[in-house]
Amino acid sequence: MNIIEAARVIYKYTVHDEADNIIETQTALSELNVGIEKGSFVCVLGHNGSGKSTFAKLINALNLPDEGTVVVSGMNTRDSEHILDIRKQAGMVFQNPDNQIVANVVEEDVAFGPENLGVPTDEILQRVDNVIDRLEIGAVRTKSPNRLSGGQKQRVAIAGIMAMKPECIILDEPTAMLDPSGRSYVLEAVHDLNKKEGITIVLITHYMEEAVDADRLIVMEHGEIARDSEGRALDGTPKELFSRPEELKKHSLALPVVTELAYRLKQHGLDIPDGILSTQELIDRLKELKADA
Amino acid sequence: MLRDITLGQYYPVDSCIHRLDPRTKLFGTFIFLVSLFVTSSVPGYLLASLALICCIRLSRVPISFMTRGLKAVFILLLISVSFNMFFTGETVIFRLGFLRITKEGLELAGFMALRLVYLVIGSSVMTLTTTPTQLTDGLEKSLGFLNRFKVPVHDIAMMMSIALRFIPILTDETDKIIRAQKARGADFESGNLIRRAKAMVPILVPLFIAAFRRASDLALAMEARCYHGGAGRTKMKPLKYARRDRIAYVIMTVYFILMFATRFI
Repeated sequence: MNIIEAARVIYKYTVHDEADNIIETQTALSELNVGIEKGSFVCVLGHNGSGKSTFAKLINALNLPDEGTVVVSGMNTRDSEHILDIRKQAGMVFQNPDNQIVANVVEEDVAFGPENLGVPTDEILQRVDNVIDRLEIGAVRTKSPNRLSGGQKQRVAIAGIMAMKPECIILDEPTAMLDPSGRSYVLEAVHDLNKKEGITIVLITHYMEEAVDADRLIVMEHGEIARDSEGRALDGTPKELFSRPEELKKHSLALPVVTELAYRLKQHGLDIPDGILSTQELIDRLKELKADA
Repeated sequence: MLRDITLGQYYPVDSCIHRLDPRTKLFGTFIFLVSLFVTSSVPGYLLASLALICCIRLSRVPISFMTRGLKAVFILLLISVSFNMFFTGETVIFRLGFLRITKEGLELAGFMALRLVYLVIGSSVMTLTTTPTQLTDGLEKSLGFLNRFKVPVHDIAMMMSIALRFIPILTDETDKIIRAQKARGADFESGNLIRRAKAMVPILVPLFIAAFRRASDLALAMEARCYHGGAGRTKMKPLKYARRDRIAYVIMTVYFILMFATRFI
């Protein structure tokens, strides 16, 4: 079952002059068709301007499509009466951790979403307790968000979304401003929520390393799903996509380091299969080769 | 100087002052500030000092935090003290050229300085023991009656709380911009007042742009988290008066009456 269904979505950014005439339009999404299955971990890749952030905002009904429809859990984002339901179902985490924390104390920020939804006081407290436990941020519960590290801030932001009990979380480059340790700290939490709570994750990112563990990768370009030279959509499991390194390179996406290494070794004549995703996999294969020799 | 403003810098310890309802603390601070102006007698100020010292001890916040806010008003303090000292009063004690110090002036300056210092410390006691969210909640609730006059109390409270959250962030950003501009050879220290004011432009422009960008990001994030104004909102920690608040109100009333009484000693 698809939790998010985008059909023939077109979205344009327009620049108006003082008299409100359109002086420039830029197509961010052109006829995007994509369905995201409930409970899956989907990674959306693509370089700047490929339309991936625009797509995220459309799911959350922060923007409405110019043409086509976006349906979240059976609700069309155009129905203004469902807007709060949609935002509750499909929570969104943004790139800059500082600019999305509203309250001055961690626990109060976590409570912000449920408060807006009018959840009764006792239940808010219970949800906040649960979520803070779940994301292991109990140590900073009563601290000011300004005193946290970037990774901790992003976890707080995720906690704030989780407190609304969403079905799906969309993360728009959540790790772009973090250092490597902060990055893995955040991703750990995201994977955990996907596996243990069955929350659908849409992770938008630049980093190929983050894409390796996803169930499905979607490469976007020019406002639609990118296609390879034979016209096949670059949309599939990491194994499938990383087995076609040339295609990814054509769309100026860098491979994860291990995959790149395996790919080059193969080019130099070693018998290594395509689509190596983990260091262990490569080591095992190399050991086999050594044993054979 | 920006760093010295303690406003909105909550000091997280557990004390009976921290646990008081923010409305009680707001009212208490208000009473304290008014009381400083109803009297200008020595016993009155002794009483005020006693009250302030008790509050600070009870709040378990180190005194150095309380006095931090003073640095920011130091110049104001200096000006008001010297004006009072040199330009008021009749009974001359000391004279140097056209400067003369009078007995009345000295007294007035002393009280003025005390008043200012107590004003700052008094409000620091409140801001250090109350989270900004509690503070704005308290304001929202105690000024709720203004809703009837179409004053958007919730919106104003939300704006204040966001402003408080972003003060430290923008302070850091200012520091960064200053350092970046210095690295490019900007000179903020030399020249006359006008030149120095002009030198501020390359700081303010990037700062404003960054602030607007942050504002737009934050608005989006708030919308994504279902914020839609004050209507239908609930609270995780709704304000509720407890017994300690009633006791505090009694103490505050007694204090105020005593302060008022010192006028007639």
